[in-house]
Amino acid sequence: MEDARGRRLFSDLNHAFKKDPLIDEYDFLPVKEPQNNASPLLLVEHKLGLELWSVRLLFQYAYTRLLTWRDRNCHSPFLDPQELCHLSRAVLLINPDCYTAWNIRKELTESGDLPLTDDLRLGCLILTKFPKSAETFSHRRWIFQKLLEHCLSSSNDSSASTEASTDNGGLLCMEGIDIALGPDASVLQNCADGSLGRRRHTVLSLESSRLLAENLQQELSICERAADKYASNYHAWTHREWIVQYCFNSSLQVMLAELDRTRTWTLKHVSDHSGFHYRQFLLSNISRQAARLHRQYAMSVSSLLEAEYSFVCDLINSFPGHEALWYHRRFTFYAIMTSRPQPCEETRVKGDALNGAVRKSDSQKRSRLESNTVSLHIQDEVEAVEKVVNQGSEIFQKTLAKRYAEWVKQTFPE
Amino acid sequence: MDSPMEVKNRQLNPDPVSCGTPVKDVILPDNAPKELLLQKHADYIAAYGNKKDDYILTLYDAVDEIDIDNLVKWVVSMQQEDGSFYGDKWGEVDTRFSFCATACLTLLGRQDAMNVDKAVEFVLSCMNFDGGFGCRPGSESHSGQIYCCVGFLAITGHLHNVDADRLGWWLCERQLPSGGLNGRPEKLPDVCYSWWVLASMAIIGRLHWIDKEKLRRFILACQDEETGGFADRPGDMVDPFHTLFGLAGLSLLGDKSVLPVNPVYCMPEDVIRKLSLNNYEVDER
Repeated sequence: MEDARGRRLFSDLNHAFKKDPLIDEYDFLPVKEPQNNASPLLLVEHKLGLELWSVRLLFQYAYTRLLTWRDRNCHSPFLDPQELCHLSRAVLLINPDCYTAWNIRKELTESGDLPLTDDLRLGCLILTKFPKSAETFSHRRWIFQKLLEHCLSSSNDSSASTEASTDNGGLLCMEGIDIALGPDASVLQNCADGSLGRRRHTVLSLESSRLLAENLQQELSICERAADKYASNYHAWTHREWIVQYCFNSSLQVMLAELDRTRTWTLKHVSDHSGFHYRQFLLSNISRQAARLHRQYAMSVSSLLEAEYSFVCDLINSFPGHEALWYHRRFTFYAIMTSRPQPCEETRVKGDALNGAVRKSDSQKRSRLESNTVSLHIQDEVEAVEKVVNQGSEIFQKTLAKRYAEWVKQTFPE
Repeated sequence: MDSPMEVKNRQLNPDPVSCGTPVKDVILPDNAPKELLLQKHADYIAAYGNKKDDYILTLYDAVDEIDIDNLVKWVVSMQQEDGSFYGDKWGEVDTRFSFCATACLTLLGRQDAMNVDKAVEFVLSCMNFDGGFGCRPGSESHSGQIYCCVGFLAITGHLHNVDADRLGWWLCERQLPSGGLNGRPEKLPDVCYSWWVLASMAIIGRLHWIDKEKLRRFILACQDEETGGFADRPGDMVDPFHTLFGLAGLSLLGDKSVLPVNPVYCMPEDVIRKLSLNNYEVDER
């Protein structure tokens, strides 16, 4: 009985996606009992609604059928690839962290039964309802690895450089690759940069690289939307970092654009520590390319850090009492202090904000390159913050200011 | 007996009701449980699920039920050139997997099968300026990931790479006025972080920086008096995950009615002692 209802719901769902392949949002409607004989699925202007009472029935039907097939014993039913696509879709729309279902879709992709772009669209849809689904983001990383491999292998087919560039990790080889792109797809331009191109140049096929470029740009927007929907969304922000690192190959152009773009975003989300950490990630990565930053953009790392420092100090004054802001101030202050040439400081302070805690020698090299005009001093910083404590400011702001002053003193002992 | 940090904590944590600030926290209800309901929890866990056999082989000293060689071979095959570990053949990299793989191999007495130096190198590349760790190099510090990385470093004998004061500072800032711990700045407190944060602090020898009594009150308030079990926050739905971490957290806080728990493996100390694995350095100051 339940099974029959489940089957009907499943078929209704498939019908909805057939009728409108461009469904871009969905949700469960708070209807706890069946109202009449009508279908519990509602489809209006690319938005899909499922009445709540039907969700459990649909899930049980799809999940049981999919997992029974997965058991692969002699009693397992034979299911054709299309039905597997549909069943896994139904399961994931309701429980996107069921990684068995995602893995079945990976297998379907590898066997050529499911286009990567279809899967990207499904993940995008799921993130509208479950913006912090870790498995959805993880699956997307797998898709992007595939997409990159696809670009590389198609380019290998069509060019003289036949040795697969995937042999040491696929993605990482992006730095040695020229990509022929239209003017609108300049996001991958960094990969064509000669200074990195010691390795064999490979020309990616126009079509697959454009596909990649379009999807990569969209991916950044998808991350932003997920971050909008759920505060301090760890998975959305670490995914965005992964995209910048592995798919954009830490391109300066992309990172500077991202720095610009997230400035406005963080202004509107002053409590979102993950958003600020993303800026820390960008600044750290940009600082590793200080020479190129200077050459190509006539900018210095220290000017970026100083700008960030005044940015966060302004925010702290305008929006008192936000812990995320004070943590971001710690980072910028630390980054400035550890990136300027003060050998005695460097040896005392273990680690370096910009390059992770274990790359001391790099930062020393860099600081010699850029002996700059940063005018921050530990004592001034402590005094400035103690002013906040002593002024009649808001009580939690005082607490945070005290903690910050303590942190400065502990981190940079005189 | 108060450490400087405990005193500071008391000064720094404002009363959430009076200040009207944006501190994200909960207020413990007056009628929340204040005693540990051990029997209830035993009943709750006993009634839960039907596949208990899967996860208690080590506890019951029955690891010979496993094809150890094959298992070791598979886990080792997940290690990558840069020292990181895949979670499965699909290639997701995360410091959690470094910890799981290493803990698993070590429990089976086969840590030598993996490349420890490379694995350490990768985990250390995920360390941030605040002393914490994220899921991949450059990722935001996260208490769950910190537990994995610190546990990993303890197991492999590389704890000296951790700046215990700096990390301990960040971790003890996770305690909120309610006494509960959050996992990252400006997140709500959650019982499972009683484990991730507390175990990390225990491993690096900074457990005494937490206001233990307040945390104990918070954990106890998350019990369900009717069904047994712990929830993430007072009044929420209980589950086995939070029940384990609630109890394990109380054990770390010194509750004598719960067996001592090992902060690295989250298993009873006597099981770990039997395996002669309890050999990580603690630097308590």
